[in-house]
Amino acid sequence: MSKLVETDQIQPGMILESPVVNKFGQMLLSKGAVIESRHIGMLKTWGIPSVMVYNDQEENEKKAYDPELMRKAEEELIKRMSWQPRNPIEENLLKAAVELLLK
Amino acid sequence: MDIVEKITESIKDLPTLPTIFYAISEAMNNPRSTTDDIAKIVSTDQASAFKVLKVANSPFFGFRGRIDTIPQAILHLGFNELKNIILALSVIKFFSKSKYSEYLKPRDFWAHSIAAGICTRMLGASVKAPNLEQYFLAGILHDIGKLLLLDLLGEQYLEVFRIIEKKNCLIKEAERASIGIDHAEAGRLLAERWKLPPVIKNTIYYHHFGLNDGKADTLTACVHMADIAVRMFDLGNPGDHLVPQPNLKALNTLALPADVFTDIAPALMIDFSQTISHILD
Repeated sequence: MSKLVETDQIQPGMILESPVVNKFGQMLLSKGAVIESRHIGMLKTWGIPSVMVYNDQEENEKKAYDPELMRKAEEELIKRMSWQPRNPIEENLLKAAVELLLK
Repeated sequence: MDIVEKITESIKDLPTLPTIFYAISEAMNNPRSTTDDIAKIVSTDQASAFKVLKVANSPFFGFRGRIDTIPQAILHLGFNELKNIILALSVIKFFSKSKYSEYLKPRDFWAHSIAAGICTRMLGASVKAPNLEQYFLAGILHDIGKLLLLDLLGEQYLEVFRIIEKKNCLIKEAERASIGIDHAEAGRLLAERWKLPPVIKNTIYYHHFGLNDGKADTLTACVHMADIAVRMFDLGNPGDHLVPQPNLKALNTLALPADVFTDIAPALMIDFSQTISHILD
């Protein structure tokens, strides 16, 4: 399944269902590319209004936010860490790991 | 003779890296070399040249699927990045005939290293680090001391994994308890033997601390954080099951964006599985 996403709504990690081409026909991003935050600025610069991305993402996200599963995943990780996050970056690292574990 | 002396002695007998790497380094240092000269040297080994191109097209270098020839790779990635890809592939090839243990299978070992290489480069890119061409290589080679120790000590090194099983500790701790030196130090000895670039030698030696001899250093800090992140993400096998705590001094040197890991994780996972098969298959 694919869906059309406005450039403002693009999230890093979305996967392109079709290539993105600028007004000169040059390919900016190829099919299957994983969007990173730096790409979003580039798309805006080129005035690309929207892109086609794969839709599986949504289901994964729904799962990732099930609080019970998240808590369990976090417990698993903390066991291997033997330390607690002390700052936003370490919290973000744990969050990223929890999300991957649930996917 | 104690183990450290034995290792130092054995390293002297270790073969050098394939001549292609030294030939390229020399050609690059010669101001008269042209792109064609270097392309010719790379192409002398067709199988390696093919792998180099596959890796050069990896998404994290930013030129996905557009590099078809070695001269194009030089044009897009630059001499140094190309040289470093070749160096990484040479080291992987060098150890492909080595002894391996059930505890540390080649594919799992390299999976951890390659994931760390990609993650190091992504972290470097996220803080707009200069000399980004060193990042992939530094990440890939950070644990090379483990393979060296396994290669040189064989059966004796397996004691390390038995300690890990019993105590559930980090591999470096088990190495120090059982052998007297850890893989960071062994890796430094190997880097010296092979005359690897000093920055790479230092990141191998200091990757557990994230600081270069106590001083802030972006590359060393990125390798340090990447090692921890890919352990957390469970990519490959570093030899133990734990995730060490980041060194705050190293982490603070980087001033990473607050959502850096959730931002790079999805791309890291995809680049990782592609690059693994490009390099190892």
